[in-house]
Amino acid sequence: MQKLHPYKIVSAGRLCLLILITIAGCKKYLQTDPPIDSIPGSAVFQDDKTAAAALSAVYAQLYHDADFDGYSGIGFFMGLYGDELSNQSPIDWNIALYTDALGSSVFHITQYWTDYYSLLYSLNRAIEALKPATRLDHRDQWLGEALFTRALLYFYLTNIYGDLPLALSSDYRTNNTLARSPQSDIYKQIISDLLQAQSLLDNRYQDANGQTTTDKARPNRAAATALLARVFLYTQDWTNAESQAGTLIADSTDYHLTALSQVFLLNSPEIIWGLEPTQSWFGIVRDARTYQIPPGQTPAQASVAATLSDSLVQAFEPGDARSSVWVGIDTVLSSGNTPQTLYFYASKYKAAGTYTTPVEMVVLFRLAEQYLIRAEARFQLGNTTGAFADLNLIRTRAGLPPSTSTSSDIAAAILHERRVELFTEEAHRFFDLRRTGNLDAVMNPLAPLKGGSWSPYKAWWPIPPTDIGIDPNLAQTPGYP
Amino acid sequence: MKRITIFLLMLGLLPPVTGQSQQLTLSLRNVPLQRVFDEIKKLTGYSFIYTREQLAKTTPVTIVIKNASIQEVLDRCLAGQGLTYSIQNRIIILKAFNPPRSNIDDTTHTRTEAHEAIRVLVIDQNSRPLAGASFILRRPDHSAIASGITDANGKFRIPIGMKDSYRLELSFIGFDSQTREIAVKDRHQSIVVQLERSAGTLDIVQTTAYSRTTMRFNTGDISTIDAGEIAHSPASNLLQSLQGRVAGLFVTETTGKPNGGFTAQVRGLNTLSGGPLPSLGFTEEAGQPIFIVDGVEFPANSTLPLAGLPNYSQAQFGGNGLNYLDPSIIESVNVLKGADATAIYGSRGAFGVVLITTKKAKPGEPSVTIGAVQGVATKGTTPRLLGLRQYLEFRHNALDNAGSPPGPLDADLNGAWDTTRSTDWTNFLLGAHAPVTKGNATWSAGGGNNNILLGAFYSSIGDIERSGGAVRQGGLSLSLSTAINNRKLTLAFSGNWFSNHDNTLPVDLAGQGETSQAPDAPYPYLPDGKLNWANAANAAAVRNAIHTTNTDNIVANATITWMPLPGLTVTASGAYNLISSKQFLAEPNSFFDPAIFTTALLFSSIDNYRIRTISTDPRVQYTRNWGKSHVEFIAGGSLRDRLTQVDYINGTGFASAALLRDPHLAGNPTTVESYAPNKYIGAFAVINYRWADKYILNLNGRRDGSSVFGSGRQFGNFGSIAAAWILSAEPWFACFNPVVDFLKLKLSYGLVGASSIPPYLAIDTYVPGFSGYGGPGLIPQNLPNPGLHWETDRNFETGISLSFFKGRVNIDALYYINKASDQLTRVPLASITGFTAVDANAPVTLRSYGAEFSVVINPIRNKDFSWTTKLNGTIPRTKLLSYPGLASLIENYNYKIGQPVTGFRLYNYAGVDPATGYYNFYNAAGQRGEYTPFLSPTQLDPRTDRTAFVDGAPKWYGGIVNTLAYKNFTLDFLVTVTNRMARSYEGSQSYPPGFLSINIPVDVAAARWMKPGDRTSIPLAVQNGRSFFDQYNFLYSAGAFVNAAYARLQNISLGYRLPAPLVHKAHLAEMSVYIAGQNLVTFTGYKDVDPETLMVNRISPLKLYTGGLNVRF
Repeated sequence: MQKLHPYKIVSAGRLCLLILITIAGCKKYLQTDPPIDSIPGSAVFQDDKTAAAALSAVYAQLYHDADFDGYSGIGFFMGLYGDELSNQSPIDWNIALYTDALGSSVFHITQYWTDYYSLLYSLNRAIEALKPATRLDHRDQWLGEALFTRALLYFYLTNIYGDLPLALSSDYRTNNTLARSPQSDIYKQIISDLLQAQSLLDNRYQDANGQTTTDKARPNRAAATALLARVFLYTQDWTNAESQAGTLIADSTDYHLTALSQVFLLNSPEIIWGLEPTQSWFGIVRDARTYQIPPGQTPAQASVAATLSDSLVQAFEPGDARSSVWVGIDTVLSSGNTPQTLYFYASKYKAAGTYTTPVEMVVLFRLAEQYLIRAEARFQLGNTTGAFADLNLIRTRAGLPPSTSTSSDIAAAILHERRVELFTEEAHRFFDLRRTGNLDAVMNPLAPLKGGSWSPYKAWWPIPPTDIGIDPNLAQTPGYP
Repeated sequence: MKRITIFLLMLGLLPPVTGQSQQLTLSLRNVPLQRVFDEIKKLTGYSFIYTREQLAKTTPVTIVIKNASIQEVLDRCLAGQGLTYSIQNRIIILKAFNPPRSNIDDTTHTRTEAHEAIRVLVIDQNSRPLAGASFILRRPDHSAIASGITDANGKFRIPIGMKDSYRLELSFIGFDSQTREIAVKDRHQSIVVQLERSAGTLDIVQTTAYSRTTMRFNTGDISTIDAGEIAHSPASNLLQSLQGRVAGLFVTETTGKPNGGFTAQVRGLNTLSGGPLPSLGFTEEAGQPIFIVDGVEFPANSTLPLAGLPNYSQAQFGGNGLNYLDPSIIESVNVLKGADATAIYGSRGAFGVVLITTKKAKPGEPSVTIGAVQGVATKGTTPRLLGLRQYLEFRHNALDNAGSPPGPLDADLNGAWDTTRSTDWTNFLLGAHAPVTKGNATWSAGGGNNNILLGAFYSSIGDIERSGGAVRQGGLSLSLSTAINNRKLTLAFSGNWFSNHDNTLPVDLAGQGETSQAPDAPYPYLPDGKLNWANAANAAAVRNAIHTTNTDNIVANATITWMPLPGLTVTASGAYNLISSKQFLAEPNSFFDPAIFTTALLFSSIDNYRIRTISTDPRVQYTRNWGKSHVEFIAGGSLRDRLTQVDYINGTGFASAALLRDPHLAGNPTTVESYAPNKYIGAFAVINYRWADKYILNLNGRRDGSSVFGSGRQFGNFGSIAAAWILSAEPWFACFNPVVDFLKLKLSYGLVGASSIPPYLAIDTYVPGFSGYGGPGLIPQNLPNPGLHWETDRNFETGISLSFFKGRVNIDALYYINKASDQLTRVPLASITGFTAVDANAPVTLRSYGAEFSVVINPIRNKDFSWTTKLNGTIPRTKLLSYPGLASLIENYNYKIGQPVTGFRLYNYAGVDPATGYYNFYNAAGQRGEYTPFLSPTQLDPRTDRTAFVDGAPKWYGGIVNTLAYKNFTLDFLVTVTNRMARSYEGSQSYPPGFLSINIPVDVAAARWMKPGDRTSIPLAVQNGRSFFDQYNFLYSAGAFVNAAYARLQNISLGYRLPAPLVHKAHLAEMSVYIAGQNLVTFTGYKDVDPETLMVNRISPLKLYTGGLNVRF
């Protein structure tokens, strides 16, 4: 056999090396420069400015999508669906909502689902990227904001649709086949996110540069605490609800109750956190244009889709300042056979013009709610005195005498107070009825009066059928076809 | 019977350039010369040309030699045999040794000698010189006294000293042999011999990716079009010249606007890459073949980023890269189809390959060729619309039917407009004719090792629209080649530069719906020539828009070929293309109604784009014969780097129109920047094996990477296997020989891919959006899919090639099946992922299949008259086999399992109700009704009631070319035929007949429903909401589609070659004149719309009449 010449061995080695270099070179060659008209996701979260911008877009989009205020806000929708609003619109989806006849094909019913899951992608992507991004100066703030906002969206989603697919990563392959997790799991995740957010966020408000500001546009630790208190209330963890709400109430330098007319003004001392209007919608809270009726016009003439329901109007005790400051009255004089009619409308938000600097803010968390949370928690924990103290603070602010309720019907008193304090705000009323077990009792007699009918399954809304068609593990909300 | 047989040994694949210094070692004793030649052939791959007679008189030789050159061997064994030789391009030609007159190929004649020789020029029937034709000069006693081949200019000289008449025999592959008597009186003259292309097409050279083959040995599907055929068409875009000439290639001219768009489709659409079909159009950008010009990928298969005026659709419809390449520089076009032909391009060839080769420098005498063309373009298909009187009647009828008097919107009837005067809007907007001028001059020179070709081109194409302007294009082309080191190393360079200046308005005036406005609409000009703004809108105001586009195109290629050993060729080539353009658009004061004009309305924009491509294909090729085996092995790599950049800036609101040239000075300038890199790298190996010229096996394998895919998924493996069996080469086939000369069966199977997606889909990107909260926000733009990978295309093909009656009838037919999967498309997702779709390899399976044939017949061929007919036809079919999640695909109603992806799901049309005159439809349950949207109690649901299906792709198409030559006259004409379904005129209208002030064609108006009982397909003329909403259903019903089959006289050209004596007297080498036409006559039942573009309100392909002159010095 021929002996292999050493030169040939060297040469073979060189050839192999050459091939390896070539293969490595090919891979390297195929790497392209990053795009110029967009930023790769991997780069966005390696810089404080861009990381902040990615989260800013989430808040701006939450406002822009109008899921929390105006005609398509959760307050309006659930107000119509429940017992707060009276429909004045001939539009089919308003009628469907009002008559509690939701079909999953009604796009508006599923808008929260698609809007929020779209934002959850952004948030999951941000959380994944921010967790290891320790080189950022304000990484804790961005991560805390993202965790808080994810919890916020899941809170509303689970209170609209019940059990949910729990998407916690940005991987569409995993998410596209998720099944619905029980609501208890959703709450567990929400609480876990919020506890993390609490530890990451600062007490003070920070702006997009990570600098302290008085502007409440971005969530801070208090926002996480406020949501946590609410979640503990919803999950009947009374001790924690009391302590979380208590923390906020104790922080009297930052937060205190203010005059009724001042509550919703931008950065009022009562506001813990909300959405700050951007110029995409005239810088307003759209409730201002949604509910207000110019004097003398019928709702139809003013293109107003809903007025306050009779039961809500009647719920105000005589002398309740809220019924004069937060409720508007439109008197339409009699004409022909039509007698004089009074229309009551929500008037919490009043700035309906066009603003470069917003006057009001879409309030998602305010101190009054925290008092009511603590009142309820204290009552459940047996601290009736404490409960009445909190409740009466809210009543006093509304110009009402202390509650005359007895300790046996204090639960009803708190529910009533929540109704008149938080009406048309972010579906508090509907969620309260449901979590306190009063929903069917209220809706069964009311639905026929609204022209529809009620069934217990309607407590939760249907989800988009296209998603069910694509995700094999996803089921429709029980009760819906 | 031929008394002389010329052996042309080894008809192998000729590498482009070869060397001669090969070292031979021979040891032969007392063998005939032929044996020596066989040995040399075996060892070097060189061929020999000699006659039996030449060898008959030779004596056996003994030769024992080591490491000698071919020349040494030949010198030794031919010594004393009365023979000498010359070597031309790897062919050794034996000649009688006739000193001192033997060096007939020596181009260094002295002036005296040159005058003593008879110069012979050999040309083909198109008067193009034939290089490499063989000749033998014989004495009257038939003994050969000289032989050789023509040089690159088709010339040779017959040595001096002739005493009496001789016979000259000429032959060339692919041409019929010819014999010419030459008398002494012919001395000092030039003799032109014209060879006729032989009926057989088998030996036409075809270019594949990196080598060449012939139709005889080709295992795949390649169609070849040469410069001669291209020259028959006066078109200014090469694609137009290819229309109807290539089986399996379907070319559509998108618009008749100069510098306009084209689409080309090889076989059927077999990809979803382009996304769902647009609902109303037909143009489909996806799945177009790649174009390679001189080795560089050329952007002719996608639209160019051209800009348009705001609110006007871009008239060139994206244009086409080949608009910037003068067709007269093109030497040949090879269209590669099917896996075997295209696997060598790997992924890029999945949708076919169009290889374009420009004219190159070749050895030969200096010559100058000049061509000039002058012509005129006229309007193509335009609908004949109602005249004023008929129009008014028609509109009154529409209002009467609605039961309403003319309202404020009915300006044509309510007295607002003067109903006594009318305008022919088609003529007013689209004009009548536009001039076309072209010229080119080519100089070529070179001898032996250094060759040069220099060309200059100019063309000017006027715009038919009455907005003025023209497309002017000038160019230069340069080709150089040089060989050094005894031709072991050759260097070639070619460069083509074109500069295109377009100041035509980028607005399709037919596309604004203004051609169909009421005839009594106010005339856009006042008697004093100013614009008439009485109507608030003015159809002529847009002519005042300012527009210029300057586009430059560079195609350059440099190739180095090195032949270190016999049969071994190493080639390195680099090619470069740059198309760059600057487009300026502006709306000055005169664009606007003075009544509303403020400087805030002034608009201008600048669009700069740049498409730069670099390609390189280094490769090694080794060719060898072992006994009856012929093996060719090629291995190499390829790299392609394309970068598309666009900088677009526009703005409105200028202090003054004087500032329009700089859009940055606008009140609110906005810019769009885009940057799309696309890199591609691959390595390949090819083995071509041929045994006894009977059995052929081709193996292709390659590994390709593309930058559009994510890390780890960039590479894909592709390959093909192909076999052919030439039955006619089998001994037992002899019994068929009198009829069938050639029969080949071929079979191929291959795997190719596709990657026609934009860059950056593998990563997630954020774009600015949703401002507030401290500056612009960043929102995720897409779901990243790092798993994106190549599409998979499995292609099976079988074919047969036949030649009858000594090549008079040639038939090529094949059948293909292509199964495409892993389709790169938008896959629907549940919205819980945050998105409703992701760019992914959908598990969609598509099948395209079909048959192609081409036939070449030469019914008549004699000295004065010849007739050739070329026929090709294609029947393409596609079928969507599976599409998981199709039902959830919200944005598209058109895909249907088992149906082509080029089709539309439509409502079942029930015709016009004879009782009411309104459209009727059937719902899914088969119930007939009007189903007027919003108005009827029951409605049609686009998801469930679209049960009819109409395919928009051609069912079959083809072309017939006839070439007739009589003496010096040549007539060539091409008829193309296409059969397809398309939207009718009415099926393309947003408004029903009689609505608003819209004119309609005479035939549509005449066919409309008039009274109860009328059975017709056109509804009543009526202006009401009911008819308006009904029209919407109609547009999405099968009733909107009609058969759009057509036959078109695509090209015709009549040429006359001036008689040689006359030409020579004028000291010219050659001169011919011709007239040619393009798109002259169309036969179709499809009314009012051009059956090629299928678009109402678009400038149809123009008719072109030209006359030209070609002179060669």
